[in-house]
Amino acid sequence: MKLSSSLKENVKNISEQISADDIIFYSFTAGNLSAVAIYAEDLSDKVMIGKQVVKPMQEADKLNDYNDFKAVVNLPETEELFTLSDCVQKVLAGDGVILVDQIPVGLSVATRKPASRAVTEPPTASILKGPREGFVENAQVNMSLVRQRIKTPDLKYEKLTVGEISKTTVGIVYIKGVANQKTVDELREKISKICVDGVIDSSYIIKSISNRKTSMFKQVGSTEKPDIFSSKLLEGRVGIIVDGSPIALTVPFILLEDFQSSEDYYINTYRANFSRILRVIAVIISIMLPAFFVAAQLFHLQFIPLAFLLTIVGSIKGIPLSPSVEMFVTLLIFEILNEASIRMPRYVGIAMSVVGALVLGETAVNAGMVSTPTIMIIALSGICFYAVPDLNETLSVLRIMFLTIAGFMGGYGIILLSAGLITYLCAFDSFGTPYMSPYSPLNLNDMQDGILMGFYAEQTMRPEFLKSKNKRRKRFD
Amino acid sequence: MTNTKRLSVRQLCFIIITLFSVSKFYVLPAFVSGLSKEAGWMATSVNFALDYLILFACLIAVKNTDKTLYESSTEIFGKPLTNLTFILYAVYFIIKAFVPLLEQKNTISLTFYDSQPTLLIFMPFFIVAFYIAKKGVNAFSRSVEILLWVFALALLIIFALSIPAGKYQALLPFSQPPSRVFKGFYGNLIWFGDPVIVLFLGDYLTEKKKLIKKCTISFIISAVITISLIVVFYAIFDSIAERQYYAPIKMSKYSITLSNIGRLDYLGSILFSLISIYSITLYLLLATEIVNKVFKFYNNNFFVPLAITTIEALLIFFFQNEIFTSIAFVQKYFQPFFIVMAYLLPLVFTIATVIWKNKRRQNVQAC
Repeated sequence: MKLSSSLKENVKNISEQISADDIIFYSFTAGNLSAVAIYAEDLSDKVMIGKQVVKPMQEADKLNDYNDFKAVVNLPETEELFTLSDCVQKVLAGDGVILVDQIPVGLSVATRKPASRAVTEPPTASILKGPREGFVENAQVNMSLVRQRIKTPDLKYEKLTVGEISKTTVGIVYIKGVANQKTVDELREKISKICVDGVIDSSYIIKSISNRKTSMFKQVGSTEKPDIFSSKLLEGRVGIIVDGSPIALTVPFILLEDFQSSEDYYINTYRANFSRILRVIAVIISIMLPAFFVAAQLFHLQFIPLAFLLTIVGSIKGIPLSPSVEMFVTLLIFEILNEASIRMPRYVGIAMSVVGALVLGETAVNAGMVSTPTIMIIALSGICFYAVPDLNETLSVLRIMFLTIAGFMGGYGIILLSAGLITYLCAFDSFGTPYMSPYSPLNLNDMQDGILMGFYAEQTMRPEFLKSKNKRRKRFD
Repeated sequence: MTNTKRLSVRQLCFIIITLFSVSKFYVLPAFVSGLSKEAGWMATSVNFALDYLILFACLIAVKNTDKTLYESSTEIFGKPLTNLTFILYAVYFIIKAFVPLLEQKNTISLTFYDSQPTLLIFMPFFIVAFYIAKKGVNAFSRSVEILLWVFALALLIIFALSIPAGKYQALLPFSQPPSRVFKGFYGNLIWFGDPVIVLFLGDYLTEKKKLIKKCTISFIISAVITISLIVVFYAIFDSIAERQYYAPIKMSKYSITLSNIGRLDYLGSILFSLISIYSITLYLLLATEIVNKVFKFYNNNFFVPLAITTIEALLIFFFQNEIFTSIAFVQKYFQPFFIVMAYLLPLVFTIATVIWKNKRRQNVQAC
């Protein structure tokens, strides 16, 4: 519906559409005409509206048309509005909207001032060395953190609106000439096609743009740190910033990314390589160890060295549960403790540790309910689990799958499940990039930042699997 | 060519190195030792030499055409004969998978489990085989790239544990009667003849740069690995080698038993079992692709792999405990069929392709 020349009618129509107490309709006289400034009380900067918009308009001698009142407004970001729905959208987004009697065009002024917390170190990505800034819930702040690191006109930021009701701003961020344009286009198309009521967090976007919607494996990279985000853009990936979410996304995504930490690039390369190898070993232990232990106890005692076997036999004597049930129950208790400790108030956390470790663990062993090796294996698996925090959702499911199959079929079940898993992962693509890159398909150049990383000075090329137009990282030639 | 049907030369090379070797690791060393004694490695070398001839022929055929094998064959031999030959190849691959499947089943049952496990423990193999066959050549070839590392680790473990235990004078004298070598060569044919696979995989190659050179090197690596394994195996067991089936699990156990560090060698065998799954499934995958091609089931690739894995599962169900009888049966009744399918037909096809190409070139020049 178009705006009319009558201010009263326009105000009436808008107030009918957004009749909320926090929407302010401030009437004033601009020159010789009546005018109204409409804004959302908590989202807009009312001081700015007063000083930069209302006051100059009040002081103007004469206002005849849109150009006259636009000329007196002291703000750089303004926009002409012709329909009621545009006015409503602008107000709800936090902008101020100025309507003047006898002029059928509205003026929106960028006076957004959404509530935002300070930029702090994200709790999920603590590091010893390196930048400590983290993304916040405000997309503009997040984008400024990225621009602070990549000062090039080629850094593009395309805004899209997603959510039939929420009208959330979703930004596509990429470096023109470095990112593969096909990926940018595919991403833009996928985001444009998202049809949901609202996007409350970036995880909603992940679910909508993933190729395999039922997969338990991540298909989109996520980070809370602008330094990681920026380095991924520099490699040739495309980023997504969602207003209201401190987690930025990147595509294409490969499995190896979960084993990389931002700190790897800030510390000694030898130590970084050692850490990466440890992460891989930790993941294998966290998935396989409980399964192998159960399989060995049930089907393949010859796997276990004799001295160790005697220790195990001594400790499992009198345990009423079968090895697989015992491991499964212990794992279940661990998962419950884990789930509870994440959600409970922090001050209860210490008590929880005491209850979990001492009361449950110690007492269960003393009472002969579970054996000491089982507790040890679950504890070790649980610790290894957090060596790669980004993978822990997937790992917990895989661990249960391997444990279940080991309980039923023993070692051969583990081999079969591994074969299925390898094939599944190798058949997987994220935005045209093989999920197991650079190991499958094998690419020696990309392996310079693989499980073993080369020296930074030698990493002159961007990853080939990203199919970047600009292949060289450092423009030596 | 769809997205799920891509193969690079590198991936083909990895298939040759890993999958062509691993299928010969279990029963073949004992069989060849039984037939040729200390000349077992020579008999195997002759097998490899013959296989290389076929591989070379297949590579020339693949290199010389831009069409798929089915299209070229239809052009040269006509549709009915091509369809018949392709169906025979599907049957060949199903039978070819039978012996390694029995080997895998018995390796698992007799060496990994303390007590004889039920058949149910082995049967999920067919679910995984079905899944891999359904996923197609692209996922398969990518998986083999991961398996190459697994294969290298497994070899390292097995060779590191077994090489010091060998008494290599057992292989002497090097001069052996040709009849003994021939006996081993002919008796082992059912484990060979894999190069024909290249003829079918050639359809999926995205590029053919340095195809012959790279595949030749890969084949030599595969041959060297297998022959080395047979050499070390015979050096360890000498005259009792012919009774030592499932070689990887047997040949490295001495150093483990002596040092009492636990059965570390099992890790190598577990990794070989993982690779074996793919080695066997390659035959089922090819049978699936052939049936899809002949009957034009391009868009319906669910029932074909299911049917093929079910046939294989039924074969195992009925012959599960008869490994040596079954191998003897296959050798007695299917060896001529194997020779025709693995050696004769690829040669005929290559020669026909070359003649057809020359003839066409002459026709073009005449026009």
